[in-house]
Amino acid sequence: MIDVDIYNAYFDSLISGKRDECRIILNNLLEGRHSVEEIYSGLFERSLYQVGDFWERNLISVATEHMATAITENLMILMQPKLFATERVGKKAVIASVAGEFHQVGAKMVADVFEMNGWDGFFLGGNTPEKELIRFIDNNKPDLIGLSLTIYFNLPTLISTMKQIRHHFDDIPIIVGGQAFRWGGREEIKGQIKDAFYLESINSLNQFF
Amino acid sequence: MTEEDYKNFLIEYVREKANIILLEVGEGGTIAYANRFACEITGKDFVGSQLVDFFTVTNSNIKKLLLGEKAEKIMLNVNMADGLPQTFYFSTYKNGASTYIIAELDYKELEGLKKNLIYVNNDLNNISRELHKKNAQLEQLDKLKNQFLGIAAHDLRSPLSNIMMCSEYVLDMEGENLSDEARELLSMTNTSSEYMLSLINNLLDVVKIESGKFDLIFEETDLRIFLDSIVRFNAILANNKDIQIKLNLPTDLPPIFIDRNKITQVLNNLITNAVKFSARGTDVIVSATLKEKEVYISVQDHGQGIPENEISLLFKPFSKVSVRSTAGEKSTGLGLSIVKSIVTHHNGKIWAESKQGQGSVFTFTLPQEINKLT
Repeated sequence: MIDVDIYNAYFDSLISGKRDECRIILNNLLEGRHSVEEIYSGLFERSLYQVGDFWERNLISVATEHMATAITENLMILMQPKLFATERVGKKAVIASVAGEFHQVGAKMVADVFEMNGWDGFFLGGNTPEKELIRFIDNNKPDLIGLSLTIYFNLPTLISTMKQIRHHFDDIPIIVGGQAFRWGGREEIKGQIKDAFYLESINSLNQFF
Repeated sequence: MTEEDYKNFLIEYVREKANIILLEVGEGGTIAYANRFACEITGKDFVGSQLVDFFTVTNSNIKKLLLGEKAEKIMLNVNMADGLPQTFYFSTYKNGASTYIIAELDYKELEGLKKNLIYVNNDLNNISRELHKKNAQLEQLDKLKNQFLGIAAHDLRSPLSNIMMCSEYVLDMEGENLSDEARELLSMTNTSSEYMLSLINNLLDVVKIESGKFDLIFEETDLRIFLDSIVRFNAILANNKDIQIKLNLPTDLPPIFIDRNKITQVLNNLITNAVKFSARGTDVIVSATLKEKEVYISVQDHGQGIPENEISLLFKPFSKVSVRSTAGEKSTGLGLSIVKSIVTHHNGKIWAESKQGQGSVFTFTLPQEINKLT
């Protein structure tokens, strides 16, 4: 568990654009034997959800939200040598944000969590065209597909993409998650598509490992 | 609100609150008024200055502003307070002797720029993620390669030793009873297996070094006795080429802590190389000196020398230089890289100096006390 004062100091630095201070806090946490998982869920995910919340309540501007995301993505690079060093378990997950959804950091976090648990987490990036996603799945035959949604407005695209995936691949489980689901959409997913699950947090991914 | 109130509200807003530049320029191009935003972003009060001073460089567009040409917005760069120029889009209105100039940022351009920066940042992050992933895969492959090399080399060693020993035995015991051709073939078998065995032993050393399983056993060593025995051992080989190995040691060499087996390997390699690349009848000098708690040991030959551009390759695995041995002796290309690793693990350094036609000197240092590389 990350100390609440440390988290608050990190969050303040993050929305003030103090990227060096964020990096120092992250390095201290790593030296203090906090696990990569703890940092992903307790620092990166938590702070970005809070950034999203602040943005929706007009407490911070869109520019600040983008800056906080960019800082987080750059900090995630520092974690990568640790992520990929884990022994492989021979399973694959394809993770992407659907077409029109340019927010990618959540999807990348999910791909990274799979990597740190020995899966190959193929990350296709934000705004992945449906055809490309289907082709990639066909070529790589993953054990699981993950789709991230940040903007609620993109929910119809997400659902149609999931239907297309189900049409082509009958038995690969699909997981979805992201900030958008705070506004709804969980029921639509559950009712319409077989073997599709909404996950609230990257902590919920543990059921796959 | 009357029409007059509304006008005053707009004028007040543009002068004091809006994030647009408003300048009033009088006759001769002198700035008569600059609004709050103009002063804030430039960090200066331009009243009394020439209009040209407001911009990064003198530009023909400034003349258009002064002439009050209204046809299109004019793009000009302004010197900002933080030292970076910023592009604004200017509109101008001339009324008698006064010119009113208004400038704004291009919202669409800034939005586009922001989006592109986000995409560039995302792309860079994604590329970096792929690189880290590939790097981790390479490290794992490297480990696998070492494991494979270790197992393969280890399993090849025993049968090869048998081939070498059997061929040697038959040559020694039955050589006289064999035909010339059979003796020649058996001799080739023996030499080839000997070379292969040395290659395998070197490969095993490389694997040990690369996988970090390279333990040193430090023992207090009298260098005079130690070096003397190595030189004596190598003298037998050198005698075949009529090469003399001379030992040049000061009387005050202190005892030193080293892994004797490994340093023997280093010296055997350097001396064998010296003999290999020297002409008949020359000599090889092994010397040692103490300088500031470090012992410098060097092996000097009077052979062909090494071309200058190849010296940096000497200590890299599998690199062979263009110089050929003088009696057809073979080389695996691994010896000096192993030598360098052994010296480095002792926290020492190794280097080579050479002049073509005059010979080469290989020198390595060893700390006097135990100073194992961690």
